[in-house]
Amino acid sequence: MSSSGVEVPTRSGVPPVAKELGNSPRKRRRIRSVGRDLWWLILPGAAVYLYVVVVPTVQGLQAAFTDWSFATVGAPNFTGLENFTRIFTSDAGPAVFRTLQLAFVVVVLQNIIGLALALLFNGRVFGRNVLRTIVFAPMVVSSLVVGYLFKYIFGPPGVGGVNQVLAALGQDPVDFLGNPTTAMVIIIVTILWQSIGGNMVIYLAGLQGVPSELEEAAALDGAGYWKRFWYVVRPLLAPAITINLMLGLIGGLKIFDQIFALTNGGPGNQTQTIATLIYAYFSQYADYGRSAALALLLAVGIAILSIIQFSVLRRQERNS
Amino acid sequence: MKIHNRITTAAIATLTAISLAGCVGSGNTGSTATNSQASGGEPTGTLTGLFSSIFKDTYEQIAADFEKKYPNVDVKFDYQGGDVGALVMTQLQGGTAPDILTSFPGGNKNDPADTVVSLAASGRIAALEAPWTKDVPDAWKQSVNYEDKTYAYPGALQPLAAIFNKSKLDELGLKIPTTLDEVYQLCTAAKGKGVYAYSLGLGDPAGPQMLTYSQLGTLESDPAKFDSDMAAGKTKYADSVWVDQFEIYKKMGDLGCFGEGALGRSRDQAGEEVAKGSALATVDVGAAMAPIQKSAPGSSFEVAPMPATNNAADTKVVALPGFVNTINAKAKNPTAAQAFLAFMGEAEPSVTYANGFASVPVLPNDAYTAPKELTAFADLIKRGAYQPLGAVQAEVQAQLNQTIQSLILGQSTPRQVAEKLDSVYKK
Amino acid sequence: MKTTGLWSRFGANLTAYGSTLIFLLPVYVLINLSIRPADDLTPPVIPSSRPTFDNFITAWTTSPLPGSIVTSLIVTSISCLVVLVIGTMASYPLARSTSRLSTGTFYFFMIGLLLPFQLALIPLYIQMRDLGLLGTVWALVIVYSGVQLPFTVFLITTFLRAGVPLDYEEAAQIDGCSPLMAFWHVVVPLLRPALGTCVILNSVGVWNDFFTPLIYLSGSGQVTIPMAIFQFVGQYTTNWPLIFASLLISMVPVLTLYLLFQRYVIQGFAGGLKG
Repeated sequence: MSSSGVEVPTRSGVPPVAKELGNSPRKRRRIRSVGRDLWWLILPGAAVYLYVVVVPTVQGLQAAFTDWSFATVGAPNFTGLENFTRIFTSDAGPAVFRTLQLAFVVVVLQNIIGLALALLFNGRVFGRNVLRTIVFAPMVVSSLVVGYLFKYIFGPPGVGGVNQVLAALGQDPVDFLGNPTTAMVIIIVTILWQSIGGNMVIYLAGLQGVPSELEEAAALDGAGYWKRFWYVVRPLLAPAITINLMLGLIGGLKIFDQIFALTNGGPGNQTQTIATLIYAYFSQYADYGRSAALALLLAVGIAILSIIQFSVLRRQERNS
Repeated sequence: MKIHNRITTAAIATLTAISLAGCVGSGNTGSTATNSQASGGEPTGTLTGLFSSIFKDTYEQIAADFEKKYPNVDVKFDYQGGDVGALVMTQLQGGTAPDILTSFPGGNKNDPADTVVSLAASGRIAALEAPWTKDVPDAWKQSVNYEDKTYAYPGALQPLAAIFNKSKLDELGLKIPTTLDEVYQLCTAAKGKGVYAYSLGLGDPAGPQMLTYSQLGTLESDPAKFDSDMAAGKTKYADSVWVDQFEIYKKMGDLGCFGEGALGRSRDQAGEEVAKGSALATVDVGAAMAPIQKSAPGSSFEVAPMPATNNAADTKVVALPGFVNTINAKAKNPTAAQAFLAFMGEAEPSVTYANGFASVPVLPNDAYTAPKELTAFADLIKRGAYQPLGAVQAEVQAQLNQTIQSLILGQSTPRQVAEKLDSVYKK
Repeated sequence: MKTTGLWSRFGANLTAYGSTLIFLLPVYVLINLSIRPADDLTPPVIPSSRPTFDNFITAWTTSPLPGSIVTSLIVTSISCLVVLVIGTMASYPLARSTSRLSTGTFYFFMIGLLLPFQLALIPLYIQMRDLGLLGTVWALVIVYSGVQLPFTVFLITTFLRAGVPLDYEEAAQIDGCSPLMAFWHVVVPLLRPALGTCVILNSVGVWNDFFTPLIYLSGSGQVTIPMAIFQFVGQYTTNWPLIFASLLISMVPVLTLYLLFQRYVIQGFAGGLKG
């Protein structure tokens, strides 16, 4: 699809695709030389990245093996793996499971609904550009304030908007945020409201790459909608699926704002995730060592899961 | 696109810590008052400080008065919203904190936090030289003293009690309970009239603890002794009156005192319910009264201590200072900082401060007359019929709020709540 | 056949509008909460009986919101520009070179996506202090340039690999362009869609960030929009109507930006996909 927006570089006055060179040995050399000659372009970015991300992170990581806290005067003591054993013997166990569960559900729903909306808005819908913008808009708002806003929408009877509607319909009130199970559902709903626009846009973009002739040909064949989708559209969407799943997984495991604003891990610690625990250790208990240890575990966990996911997706992409 | 949450996550306003820390009580007991030392010369130069944006007007007025008295000092205060505590802690770590700091009273040596005791123990704040340090009432020494030296200007007190919608009570023909049984009766009576008695912010990070603290004032006769016994390992939460309070909590929950969907209610929403008259009272700090009054200008509200026994004479109101002000041990202008905190303890600035915070001065002050809504509370303070809070470690406090929710959900027993607190207590 | 087509189009429109409406409901509640006076306690779904703009006026006049918009615009635009420039430069060799070292460097950048921000918070603050940049917008610019870089490199590298065929650069080089000129005159213009996407997503992140500007700008007298909004968050009470009103005000600039760049966003995502 992108090539449609690509202009021929007329400045040079040379046709963009010099096909005859395509298979010559000169091309191979050139391909490699393009990156090699300009390797130094990476320097400013690498310098900033090293200075802002790598150096302080490595320093911070050392804290994972010490008793560093706000009360530490002078150098913190080396405590080996004590922070890690404390984490494994505390609330972190259920939180790990919950984090995985939440990320899984969010990623699956984001992609199903995001794709469905993309298919819908890719069709002949009146004023679809405006509709797409509306669905995308929540992405640009502070997710923390969105959390507080949803606290009013799903508030208790007498305060919450949805309960007001239920009451008007003569239904029983629902204790949305006071019940651990429904609270988790509301957290997911809030996250979906805010993030689905992004997934939709990526799928929409992917759908632009599906040539309509291909679809029409399948339609003339008499292929049903689902068959057409499965055999014609889906393989072409594979890269979009990869990007959405990768970004969804990394983000899903780190979800914090919405939980913090809606339930702060409650009721009774039953919506606590790794991200909310890292926050509590760091900001509430000022226990920097324990917080760093948990952060390290989270980063390693995300890395492992995303590498697995990435290789599986790549293999599927190649197969399709 | 969740990837971008990394930044938005970095954007976290740490709302909890603020509201939580406001209720962390006092810790180590101080015994004798310190004598003031002579400060070094006439203050000059620039004085910096960091305060909560909500109180900007109050501090600006005190600063202006201070500059009148010391024309050679240029006061440059900074005001921020959200989590001032987290900001102060980061600045202290970086050695970039201003001269005057906003801290929390009391605290515990083993609990790293921006509390007076923790900061003083780690040498991050300086002892005060102000003449008023000898006037700090005994009950509040534990809030501002560490090892017999005063480290903080104690500011002013507000109640932690029940805030009743008096108009609604009168309309329903009900009255404010003075014993625990009357509390239970009020719950049943309210239910019969289609409302509920106590609207608590049980879904709020700092909400569930309010009722516990308000009743501990009556149940716990000597919070300072309890704290030192805890530190010495001589007692446990599970062997204390805390369990009794959790029993009351459970019974109130079972009786439907807290209304439908109680665990999903935030403190703001709890206040709204009282303003509307859907609930008769909330249990919160005095500062919560202003927005309630503003939401229902036509109704009258009354603050009353929360009974915890069946002897009305036992009941004590819990009083607490919110923020206190301390001096950075590495202050660039220690002379001016000492002069400023000495100035804040004088009669007039203390009145300005108390009025700005809608609370009663801690230091005895003849120039102060309480406004109408605070007369009853000021009177209790004057008579000594109040109780400070004990020290609660940050992690204990966080678990207290979480496990009370479990208690109301029916997933924990009162004893299990206390045992959970013991398990995270740092000796 | 024709009628079923009509029916399905009608159904598609109905579903499309229905689902958009669901997305709009929270926005409606947001607006409703910010236009109701303090003593109006009607539930958030019922339109306020006495709508007022007082909250907007109070938010605008009693907080540093007006000045904060300028600061936020400066911080956001400079940070996004810097990260765009260094990110694009870094992505080019990463996308074009197939060596092990290059692939390894790419994954090294990707690690930045995984890290919880608390890990680096205090060490980074101390580094900025040592640079003498505390209290200036430059501290923020440097921090954001580093923090946003992994995402920027991910997006642009993917786009370059998938959406910009090598042929263009080769043609340019045959024509006598140096590799650098080919990069600047040929590749960068082709990257416009990806750059648009980066601008939008990075600026949303910077625009909404609260804690970073709080610690780096505190004491300087400068505030960003989130800092201005959080002036209404106090120790015991929080003024939600004012916060929601300020939020609506603060959305205006970023939504305008989105409208301007929207075309590129869709293209950018699309471009990044062809692989």
